[in-house]
Amino acid sequence: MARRLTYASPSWQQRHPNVVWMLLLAPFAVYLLAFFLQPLAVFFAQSVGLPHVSLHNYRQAFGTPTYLKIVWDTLKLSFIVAMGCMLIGYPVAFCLTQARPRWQPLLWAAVLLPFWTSVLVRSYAWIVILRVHGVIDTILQSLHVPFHPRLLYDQAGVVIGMVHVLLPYMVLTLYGVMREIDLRYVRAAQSLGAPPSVAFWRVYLPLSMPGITSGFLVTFILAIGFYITPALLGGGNVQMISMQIAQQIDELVNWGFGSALSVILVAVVVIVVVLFVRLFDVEAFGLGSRREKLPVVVPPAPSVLEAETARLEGAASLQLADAFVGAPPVNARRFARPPANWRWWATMGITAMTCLFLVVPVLIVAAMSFSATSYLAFPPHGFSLRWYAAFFMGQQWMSATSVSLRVAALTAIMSVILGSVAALVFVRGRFPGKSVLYVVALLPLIVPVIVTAVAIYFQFSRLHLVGNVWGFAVADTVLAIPTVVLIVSAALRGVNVSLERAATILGAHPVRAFFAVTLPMIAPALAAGALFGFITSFDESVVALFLSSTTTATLPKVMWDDLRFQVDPTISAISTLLVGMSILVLVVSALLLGRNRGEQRETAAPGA
Amino acid sequence: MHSSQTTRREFLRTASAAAAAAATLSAIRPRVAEAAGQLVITDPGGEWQAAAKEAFYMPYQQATGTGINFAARPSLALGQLKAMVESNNVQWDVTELADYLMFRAGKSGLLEPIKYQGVDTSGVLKDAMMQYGVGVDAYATVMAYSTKKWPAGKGPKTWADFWDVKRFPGRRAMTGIGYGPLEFALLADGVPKDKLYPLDVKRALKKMDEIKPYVSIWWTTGAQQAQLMLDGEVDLIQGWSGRLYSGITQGAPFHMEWNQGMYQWEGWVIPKGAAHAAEAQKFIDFAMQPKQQAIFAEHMPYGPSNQKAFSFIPKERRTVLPTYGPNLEKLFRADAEWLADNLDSLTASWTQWHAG
Repeated sequence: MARRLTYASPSWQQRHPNVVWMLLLAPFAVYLLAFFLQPLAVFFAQSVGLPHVSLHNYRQAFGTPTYLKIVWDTLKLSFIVAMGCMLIGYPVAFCLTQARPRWQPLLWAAVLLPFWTSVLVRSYAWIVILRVHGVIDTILQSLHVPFHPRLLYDQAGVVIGMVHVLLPYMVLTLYGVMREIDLRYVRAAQSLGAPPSVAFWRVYLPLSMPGITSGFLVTFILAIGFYITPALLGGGNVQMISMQIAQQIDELVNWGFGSALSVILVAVVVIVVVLFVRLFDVEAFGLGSRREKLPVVVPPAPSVLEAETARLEGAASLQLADAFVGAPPVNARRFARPPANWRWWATMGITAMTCLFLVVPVLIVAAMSFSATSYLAFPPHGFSLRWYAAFFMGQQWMSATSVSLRVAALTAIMSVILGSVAALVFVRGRFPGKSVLYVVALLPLIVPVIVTAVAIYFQFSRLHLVGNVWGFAVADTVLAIPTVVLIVSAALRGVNVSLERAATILGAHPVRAFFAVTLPMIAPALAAGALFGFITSFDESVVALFLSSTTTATLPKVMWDDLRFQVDPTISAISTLLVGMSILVLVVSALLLGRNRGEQRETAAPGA
Repeated sequence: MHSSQTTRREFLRTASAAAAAAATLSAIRPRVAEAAGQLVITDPGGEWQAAAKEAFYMPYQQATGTGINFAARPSLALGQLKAMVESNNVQWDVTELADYLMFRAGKSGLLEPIKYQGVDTSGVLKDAMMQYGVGVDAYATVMAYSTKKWPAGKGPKTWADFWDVKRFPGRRAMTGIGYGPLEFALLADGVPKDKLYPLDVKRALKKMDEIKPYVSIWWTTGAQQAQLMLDGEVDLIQGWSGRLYSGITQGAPFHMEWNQGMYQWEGWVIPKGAAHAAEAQKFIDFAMQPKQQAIFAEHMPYGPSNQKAFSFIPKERRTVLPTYGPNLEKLFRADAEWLADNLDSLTASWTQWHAG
């Protein structure tokens, strides 16, 4: 033991490892403190500080049943959305683990295309589909169906839109767990006489339970903070708490009360997370679990949800890479031959329907972008490129695109630098308070974006960062950091540390060993992190609403203005361009990651 | 844009441009940001902006040589205004607000008072000249009904008729935003239009209970109103005259009823601490001229505040404008100041009723 430790001369770093780790973490910590925690604290302080120091705002919030009811409605709606995601996401995730290599790219494309598509674009697509004389209505009419369900501007529309946004999160989370399930247990059950249904309910389902609970929690929490989708699809008939907050801030200039509602919203989310972790024993957001998991169910990952969120955020492309490279079928993970009975067909059917559900809105928007008419109509009348011309000739659109590209590039760079160093510290470092800091690092994912937006807005206005490319980039970096941390730390955990140690034994300085050995191995994860930073920023539409100015606005913000004021096919042309870009990014990232996954497998296999 | 205050902003902008160049991901150069501008004016964007550009921005630029840098204001107007003023970083010289928000913002210390000297206001409606803002155009909230259901003139004429679901059965749409259609509920309940304020909220909501089951849609945006008419989603709608008219001109078979409608002003305000407040005042004076307002009214079906504008407006166009004499006498003015003072409780009551 002593011999091994002396492979390099004992240095100051080795004598004070804590200090080194904490110094490395400092830029990240300062950044979050300055641009996230402090603004959040200042904003929350207003809930007791305005109009005068008192609990007036909380008394108002709790004194009138309205706001508690809206909170309750928000929770109910989010619950429905999470349940919906789970019910239709489960068969899809199962199919993904079982599909033959040649089907996998198609399945993954269906799941991931919307994942990379702007939330605004998708809301817009659903308006087109759900409205009267929209796609569904037209189809029902041509089939002479006598009844016309009200879908748009009602809860149904909001649920459909939100499920569409959140489903990929659920599928990826479930997939992450299901692909690790050893099917020999199922076979064992069946060979011992269990009929397929019993084998499923008693063996497979319990084994996939961690995926269900984590997926449910992630979609539920993300749903609670939704703002754009209910505002666009609910048409005033669906009230969510984040919309109330926006109204208080913006129309009533009642910042104290808006802040109190925000505190309540954050408190609710925290309570939900804690309750859920207690009840279902989820290792959510690195908060830890009370009970040891069955070792066979989940490989001993440091934190299930951590890894899962990494999967669902970053490893989305890793999985796709798997699909593109054609991962070798693992006997234990796939049924040798699909049991072609009604269960199998039902699963396939649901999966096919879900894939349609995911992809059709995107295709419809693409079709309508070539319409020759100046209003929305489906099927589109005539063919024309005028709406593409309108985009490329429109000064406002071009300017916003330019701003968005610059902001996204800056965000990608800043978030990958700050996030990667933090990830390194979180994976390798040993110092007190690490787990607390880790949760703080993931906080921007947990705090609803509307709250973050308002807090950051107030702070940035003082710093003259409103309507400024740097302002957007700094704020978007806050939102992108958790994703980068999750992706890079997942990659770092996969790296065999002994390789780096070998380099140091051979005389390399630890820093040099890291750069020469480990960095190339995690380079694809860094690239994925940068891409996610880019997309997070490019698609960010809540903070952008606040931080935009007359001269500097991002693309999602201009689209939002356009959607509220008038709906013409220009926006579908932009949507189609964005989807095209998403596909491009998806393919590029898959190729990047695919190449490395191959290499990693070769190098890692013998050691593991 | 050229005051010493903005040095930091300029610096950051330069720095950001440099960094972006380094990032080499921006192929397109920004154009709007670099546009020469002395006055920064924000407005609701869309068609409104297109009309304002023709009526006010371009003519002012030509008449004075002062550049105007205009852009759509975020839908989050007052929140942004407050943050600007409180952080001493006021970026707008002029913006556009609805009248009750003028009072709301003005009383919160977010606006400069308007000066009414040095401009001929003889033709301007008195109630358009407010302490913190100038009404440039009036919008009316009225009812419209499907002529497929009732021939024009045979449909509901009063809010009591609108509430009468036996005489006028059909699907209804009403406003779901702000504090809802409380004034109309009171009118339907028999309150005379000069005795509406202060609003008896309890009585209004009780009357709302009656119609609630028959309202199939509570609209939240302007664009939605015309779309509902075009799609034939409703038979009766309470909405903004400009939007209803736009639905009718696009082919929706509807008739608009001015009787017992409510009008409100929207117009210019100067944010407190605006960099070019004096120039902003000159622009506002310019925009009050009859000719300018006539051009605006030709593009947007909203009523000019300067009655002299009507001499420049073709006769058939006048009939769709809320402030045209024969229309105006059927309307009543929403008490913007009272609404501003009571907006919190009104909104809370409405939200409670609407969510309940």
